[in-house]
Amino acid sequence: MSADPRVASWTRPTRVAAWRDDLALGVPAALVLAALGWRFAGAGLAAALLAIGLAATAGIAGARARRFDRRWLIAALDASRRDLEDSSDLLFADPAALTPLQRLQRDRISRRVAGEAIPSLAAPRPRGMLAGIALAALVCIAAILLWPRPATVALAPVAEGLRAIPGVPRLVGQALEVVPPAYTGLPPRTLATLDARVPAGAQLRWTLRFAPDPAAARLAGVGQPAIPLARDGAWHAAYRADRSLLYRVVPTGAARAGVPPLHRIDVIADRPPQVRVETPREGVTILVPSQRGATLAFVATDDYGVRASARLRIVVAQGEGENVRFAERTLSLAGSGSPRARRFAARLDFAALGFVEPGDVVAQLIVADTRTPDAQEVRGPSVILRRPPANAAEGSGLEAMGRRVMPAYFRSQRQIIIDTEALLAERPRPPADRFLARADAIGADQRLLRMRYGQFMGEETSGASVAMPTNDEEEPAPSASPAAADHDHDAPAAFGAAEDVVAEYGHTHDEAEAATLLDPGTRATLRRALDAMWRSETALRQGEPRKALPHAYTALRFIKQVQQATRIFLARTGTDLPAIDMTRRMTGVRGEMGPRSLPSAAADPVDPIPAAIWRALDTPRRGQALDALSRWLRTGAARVPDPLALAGAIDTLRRRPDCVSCRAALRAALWPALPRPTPGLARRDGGDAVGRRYLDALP
Amino acid sequence: MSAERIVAALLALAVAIAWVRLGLWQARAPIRAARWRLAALVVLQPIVAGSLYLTLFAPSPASSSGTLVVATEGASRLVAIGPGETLVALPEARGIAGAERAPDLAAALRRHAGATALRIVGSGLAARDRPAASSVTLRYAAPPAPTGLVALTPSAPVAPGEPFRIAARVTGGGTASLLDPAGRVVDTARPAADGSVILHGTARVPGEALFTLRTAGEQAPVPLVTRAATPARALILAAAPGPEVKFLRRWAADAGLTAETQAAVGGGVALGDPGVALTPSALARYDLLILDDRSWAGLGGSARGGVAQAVRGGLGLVVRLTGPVPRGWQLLGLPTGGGAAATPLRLPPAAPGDAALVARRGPGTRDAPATIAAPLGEVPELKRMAVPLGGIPLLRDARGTPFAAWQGVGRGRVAVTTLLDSFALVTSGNGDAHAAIWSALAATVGRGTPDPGIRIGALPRVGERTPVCATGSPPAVIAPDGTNTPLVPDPHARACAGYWPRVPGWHRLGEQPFYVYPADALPQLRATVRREATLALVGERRVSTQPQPRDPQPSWRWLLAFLAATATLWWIERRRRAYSARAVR
Repeated sequence: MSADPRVASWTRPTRVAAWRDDLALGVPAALVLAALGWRFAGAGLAAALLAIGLAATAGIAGARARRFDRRWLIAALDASRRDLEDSSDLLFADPAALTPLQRLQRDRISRRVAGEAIPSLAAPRPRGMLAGIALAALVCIAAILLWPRPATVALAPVAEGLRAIPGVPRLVGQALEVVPPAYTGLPPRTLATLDARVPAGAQLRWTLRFAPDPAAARLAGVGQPAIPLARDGAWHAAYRADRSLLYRVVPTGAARAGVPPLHRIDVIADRPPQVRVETPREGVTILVPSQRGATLAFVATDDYGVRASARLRIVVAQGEGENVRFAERTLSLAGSGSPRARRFAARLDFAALGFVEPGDVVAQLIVADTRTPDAQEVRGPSVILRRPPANAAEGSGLEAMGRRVMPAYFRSQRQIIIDTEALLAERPRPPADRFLARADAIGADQRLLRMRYGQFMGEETSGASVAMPTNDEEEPAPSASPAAADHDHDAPAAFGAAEDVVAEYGHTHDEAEAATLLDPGTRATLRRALDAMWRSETALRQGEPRKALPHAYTALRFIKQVQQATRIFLARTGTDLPAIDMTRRMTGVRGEMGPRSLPSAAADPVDPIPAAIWRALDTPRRGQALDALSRWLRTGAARVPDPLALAGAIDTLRRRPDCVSCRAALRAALWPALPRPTPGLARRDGGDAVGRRYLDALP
Repeated sequence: MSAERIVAALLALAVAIAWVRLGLWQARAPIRAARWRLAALVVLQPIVAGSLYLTLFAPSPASSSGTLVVATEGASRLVAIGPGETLVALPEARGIAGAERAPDLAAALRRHAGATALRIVGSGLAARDRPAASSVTLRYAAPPAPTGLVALTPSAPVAPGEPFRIAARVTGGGTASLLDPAGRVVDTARPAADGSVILHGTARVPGEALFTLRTAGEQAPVPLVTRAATPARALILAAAPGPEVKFLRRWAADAGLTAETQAAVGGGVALGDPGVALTPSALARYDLLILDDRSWAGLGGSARGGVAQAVRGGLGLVVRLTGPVPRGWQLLGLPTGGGAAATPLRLPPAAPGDAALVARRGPGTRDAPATIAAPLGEVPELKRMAVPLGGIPLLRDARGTPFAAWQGVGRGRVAVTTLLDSFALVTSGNGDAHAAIWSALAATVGRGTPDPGIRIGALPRVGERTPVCATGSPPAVIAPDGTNTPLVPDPHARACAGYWPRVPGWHRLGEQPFYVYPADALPQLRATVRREATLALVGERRVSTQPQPRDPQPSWRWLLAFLAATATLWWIERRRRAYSARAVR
């Protein structure tokens, strides 16, 4: 059945009227909704609400208009035209499907329909109602948009202490809203005063009322740009409290009333979290040999909150001598307890960590606070779990006597091999001259190492060049005694630090054949190691690291053998000093020894500026003193406990130079910054002439 | 011949001359005056002269005999007076019913010349009235003693950084606190049974500062004047180098002393500055000589004599004991007992609390910021030689045992300290305590300066006479408002001058600042002073038999009479109508 064009043409007026009615109802409703959105959330929500409302209106109107179809038309025609005899459905029926009687009736009705115009099928338009709705919507919108904003904050009375002059703007109401950053968890609050201590990053909003209203007003900061006040019923200003602020409320045209008092906003900075180790109690815990695991517990505190999860950085260092291997891993821990003091506990399983040999496990908690946008991350103290080497326990009392002197050296030989291999593996290959320079540098290291071992073999070395590149000890003081010069070998000062017992105590005056610290077998091995080092050095110096590498490996192998063979035992020196032979005391040649002057003991001079300013405050040069103090405060603010108060006092005194109490306030703010000179010899009263004569006459 | 007689004679002469002139004038006049007019002119001449005389030398008003009841400040409105008593109110007494006002007590006594006794009502006589009251019998029913801050002795001018102390008497209970200019408490103490309390603070840089004494009821400003220290030279000798010498040297350098140090290291070798011959002339350049006992023992006889002579001339000598002391050892007359043992020494706490200690230390220096200073409880245990000291104790440990003492020798002073390791104070972050010990020693025995000779009365107050004494002519006083007041010294009062301040605040007498209290400051203290001074005047005194001197003040009533008589005389004498009428006729 195809659509009958008559259906569309006959129902169009009705549909148009329905659309019109629906739009007349829906559009004002959408506008009112949009106005509400505008009022409470701004233009964005208003546009969105308007779009949604219009779409909904259109949808509903469309759906309602679709009701006016053929069935509705038949019913409407039947209801409105009696002469159609309830048979209007025949008009739209398929003539082929009709019975002859029906066809007859259809023709009759068709004639009637054609003969007389189709009456309007729509309900009469309630024009008054539409106008009323439009009017009501207009009133609603106007009310929503123009209704005075309720004072969102209750304004507190003002105590500025200024004279009330008729016609001069004066602050009569004040409120300060503080919205701390969300991460602090602090509730927003409204203060009745204009002074506040707020967390860093808090949003401040001033609401002020003046009577009468000035043309403009601002919050004039001391040493900072002014914040303009915007009028919106009351006067408002906003500020993000990232740094402390000293300000006064200055309405334009109120200079006659006097200088308003200063107000201060103190910013409390967010402190980074603090980590405390709860278990174990000692920084270094010596593990018992059978221990399989350990429990660690940390407590992290913060002024606002510690993030619930933290990382535990675990470094496992195990092995001995050169073979210390490091493994680092990070565990994630979940904290328990309140956000301000969270407890993080972990059970370390040594087997899982691969910690099986003697060595250390170093654990460190890394926590962050909840600050946004950039959280403060803090690394806590390290907890060291130490499994002592097995042989350390073998002979009690021998710890200080048995020392392995070798291991400190081996790393260097291995390092030379590593460096050489790294140089060879470098891609792209460095330019020839740089390549040669680096090979030469490694050769220099090789030479130093060779000379070290040479000492064990009794090879004298010379010059300060024996110092290792990593040697950071100062030059030894030149000996004052010429007698000691022939004994001076420029002994290596800090090589291997405390381990270097041979150099320090052993000083063997080795002839090549008389170096008795080492047994002959070890000496032979060491000799071969030295030869290999020599060849390695030669090749390196010539810029051929590839040729040097096999010799370096050979040297390392021999040194390994020496390591396994060598133990040096030295008796510990006691503290009993030999008795002084009084007959010989002070009988030596003192020669060049003579009086020496002592270095100056003068300390840093005390900062003289605050003291000078303090004195100048009572003199006519007060203005210059204030300028000098302002300059000093810019650089020396860290030394003043409360720089804001001092800046405020300077500003007040500058505006009221004759105010005695302002000067006292400035002195009060400056006093804590005054350094206390070291007391010395305060002159006592020596008396007058009579008193001196009396003293002179005393026996 | 007194002025009164001369004036009387002159006036009589003038009357006689006037009469003669009148007679001559009448004799020569072409027209005789009316008889009544002539008689009036003749009679009025002596009247004018008499009234002028009385104007100049008026007799005292009828003075009552008996007791004068004097209402002073704080007297109640209704004062009960007995028969024969006259009530006089001094200016400080306000609103006394039925009282005769008097500008001061001396004026009241002149008006009532017959008064033989005084009865004082109220809180007592002000300083102005006390000399007048000292010659008559005085009775005084004193009110109860005021409570609160009743006495205050601010510190004398101090050197920069020096500790100072103030004394006060606070009755009525409660604690007393000393607040620095920033309002921080630097000391708190509970007054003793008699109310006396001593509070400590530390000075800062040269200049004036106003501390505050806070008691239970009131706050009183306490002025402190810090004067730049005059340069001083010190000589430090030690028989061996050591930390004590090192830190002593550092203290001297920090404190601005020009110090020469010499530490012997044996064998004739010494560290430090070139040696100084210890002769009186060489030592006269120094203000302080610090030795250890071994260097003192090692001085030869002549050097020791030179030191002794220099000390008699004003040099200060400090000897550090570092080892056993033989029995009967003495230092230029300062006796000590013998002893060989070292005993522990604990210093008394430096401040009543950590906050007060921080306030006293200040912000520190770049070398030693306040952050590295030790907290209150962390003072190390020091050591001292267990040697009893004679002389005047100077420094005491926490248990009150002296570890330093001094004694005067001629113009100079010598001191002995048994402290062995004061350097440990510096290394433990108590450098201020180290400096305080050595500064106390140096300031006590160091060479003094001649008396500047300027004395200013205690606690000057607006409107009260402040005596200012200075040798020579005192400089002018400069008030805070810039007023320059030259002082006129009174040759009878040892060249002291009186100064009446008009505004409160810091005044300046030459280079010396002094603080003037507001008129209403320290009410309890003023009441106590008045009460006690008045009580000291109470007593029966024989009234002077000499006639009371007449009041030399001109009396305005007689002046009016004089003016009226003169005007009448002038009118009668110059009356034109008489002449003109007669001339026409």
